[in-house]
Amino acid sequence: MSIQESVIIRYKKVASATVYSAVRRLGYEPCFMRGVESFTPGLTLVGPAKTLRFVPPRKDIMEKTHIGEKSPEYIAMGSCEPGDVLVVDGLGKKYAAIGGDVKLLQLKMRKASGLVTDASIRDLDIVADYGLAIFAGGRTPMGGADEIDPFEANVTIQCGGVAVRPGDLVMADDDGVVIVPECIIEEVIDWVEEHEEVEEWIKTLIEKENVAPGKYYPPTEETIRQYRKTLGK
Amino acid sequence: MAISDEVLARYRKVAVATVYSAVRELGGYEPCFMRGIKAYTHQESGEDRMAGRAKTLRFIPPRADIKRDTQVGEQSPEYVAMGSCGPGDVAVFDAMGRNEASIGGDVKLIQLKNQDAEGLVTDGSIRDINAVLPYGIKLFAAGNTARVGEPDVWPYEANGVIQCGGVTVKPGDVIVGDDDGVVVVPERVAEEVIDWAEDHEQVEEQIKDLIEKEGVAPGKYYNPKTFSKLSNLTK
Repeated sequence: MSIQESVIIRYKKVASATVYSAVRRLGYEPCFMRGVESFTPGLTLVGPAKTLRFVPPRKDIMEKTHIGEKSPEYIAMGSCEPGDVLVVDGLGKKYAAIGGDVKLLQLKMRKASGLVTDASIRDLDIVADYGLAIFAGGRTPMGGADEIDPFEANVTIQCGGVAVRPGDLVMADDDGVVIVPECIIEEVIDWVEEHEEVEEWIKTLIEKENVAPGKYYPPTEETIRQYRKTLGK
Repeated sequence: MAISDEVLARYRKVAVATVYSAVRELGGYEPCFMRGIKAYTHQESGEDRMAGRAKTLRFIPPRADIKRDTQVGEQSPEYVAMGSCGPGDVAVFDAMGRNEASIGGDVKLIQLKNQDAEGLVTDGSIRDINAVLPYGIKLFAAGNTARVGEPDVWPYEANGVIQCGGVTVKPGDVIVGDDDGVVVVPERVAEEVIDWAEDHEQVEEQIKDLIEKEGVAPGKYYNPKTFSKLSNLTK
């Protein structure tokens, strides 16, 4: 389930928009989360997913899950290794918090690299200093209690309309969050790196020739071949 | 111990609105009324509302690798879920509140008909509605559609804990439905709730008679004090 550090480093250098195109091209949509934005602007987040699923609250179920240190949210956060990203299915409830400064302390202590949810974060001003990149549906002073309650750690979830499995790659920047299924992580970054180079080359041509971008974009197989020739490939 | 057929028969005779009040009265079990879901089949008498034990199916957004792993013919999650239903069971399908997403149509839902399931409830949509209505299953959904579900939702897990219409549903819970909608009664309070609901209905009948006879505003009798006085449970 771990992703090589060398792969993480490569992803950190590219844009989520290009990663989106790559995942789409391979047929793995939906992959871009709706209603989830960056609350730590300027930060790029790349890391393997751990997951947590919330459900609407109910007394009989909470009697089994509210068990202190071993409650599902602490199992999920406790499973994070340094660099992991916790992805939380908050049922898209934009005003309900999945945690605040006390609970999320555990993510800071585990040295997670980020937190992603389609619900809200509480005490954001404090949590933003925990060394995590944060992507959420909103910020709120409320708790989650009336609408959502933590239920299950490290299962397949949805978040922002995207299916997420533990071990998938989370790639997020100011444009939002893209999920790269574990089975295509290397194929995607290979395509993305070359594609970003091709695009830079195309932009130079467009400016030099002063033409409408449609002349070179999107790049055809022939255009890509031309690009590779310039590298002496 | 699963909820008995006798208890389900009692539920079919009381209004879902009264069952809602009963669950609310207990505290800690709301939300229990499913949002955005309407009846597609209707009662013919006061005794044939939908009441059944929940079986569940969780859908997730589609993804090519997950589809490969789960589409395994007869043992796909939707067939495991529907296959686990029998008489007195209600299939509850979690479509993540995607009102327009199809959770099945005339071919897939044949299985519920063959299993003699009591009903189907979903916060998604049903496809081929005019072919499914004659199956004899009570139907409650957010809508109906001509589209297939594959672009929007993918069946993933049978008989786990789900949400539907914003309510948590656990297999074995009692699911009741009439023209006012669907309420979830957690299994562990199902007997307490039907006792309270039956008593409440007989008190309400007395209250309505008094109001009509005296020609007064309902507030004269529709209050906790009168309920307490007329209830058989507090005696």
